[in-house]
Amino acid sequence: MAAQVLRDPRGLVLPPRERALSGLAALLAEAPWTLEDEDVDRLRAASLSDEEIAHAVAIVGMFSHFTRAADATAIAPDYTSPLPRLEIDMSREPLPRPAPEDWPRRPARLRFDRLLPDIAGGFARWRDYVFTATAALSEQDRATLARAAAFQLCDAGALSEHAHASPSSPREETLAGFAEKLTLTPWRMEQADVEALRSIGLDDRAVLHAIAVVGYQNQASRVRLALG
Amino acid sequence: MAWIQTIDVAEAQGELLDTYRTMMARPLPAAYRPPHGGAPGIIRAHSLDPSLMKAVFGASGALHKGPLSSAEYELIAAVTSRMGQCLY
Repeated sequence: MAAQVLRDPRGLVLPPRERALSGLAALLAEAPWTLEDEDVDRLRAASLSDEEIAHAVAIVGMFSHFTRAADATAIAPDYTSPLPRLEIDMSREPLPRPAPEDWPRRPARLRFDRLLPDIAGGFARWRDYVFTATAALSEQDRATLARAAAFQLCDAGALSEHAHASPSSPREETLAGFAEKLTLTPWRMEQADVEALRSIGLDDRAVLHAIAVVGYQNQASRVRLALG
Repeated sequence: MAWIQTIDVAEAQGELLDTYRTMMARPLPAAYRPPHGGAPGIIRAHSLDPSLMKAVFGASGALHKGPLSSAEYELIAAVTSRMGQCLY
């Protein structure tokens, strides 16, 4: 199955339950703003409980951070794997985003904190740390990064949380550009993107914090768009 | 060579060393233990800030205790990673 995922994650031949889970992951990873109530109904029809659906959404969110942390730092793959190395299509473009007036605005579907309180609590502590200003990055820097990522994910709720954080200086433009690229095309990250952050005064720890804000927001916006 | 500095277990001191020890003591499937014996790269990538490491991997640790099976967890993680064309 792992080899199938490498070849064609949308064409997996799986039993209905696993097919529903992999379909949710593909949709949420690539186009989270398109998730409709009917998609959730299909998961329930495939015997998934609301707790299991929320768990699946949270896993996609977590790996939306992990993959970006890996791509933005260029850590070497170090797990043993019998699988062939993934061939990356650098020419692949992200899907076009709808205009802000067409972004989803709907009431919550499922209450993450009620369905999975331990996991939601862990995610809340993660958020609290990522958005705490330190010497590495100011509160405004963090909001600028989060807003830029949320905009590319069509997350109207996060955009209103960070409404004050439109980039208004060359420094903030650089931070926003980094967040946009890491959100849209993580496979194209290169050392020059990290150097751009260094050119505005970020040291390695601050670069890590910038990556952490973008990674967190990629998780949080997907969870919000899926669950409300 | 990573684009930012990372500190592996062998060089870690103080809070980072304590954090690594706590994390490495957790039950982990063998597939999650790299053959070089150090911390997996995705953990090491967070090593310049042990508090961030604790926040991120505290969340992911909680995620391992959810209602889906380990196989379902891995399927979702693999598809998410593949959609983002992530080598790691």
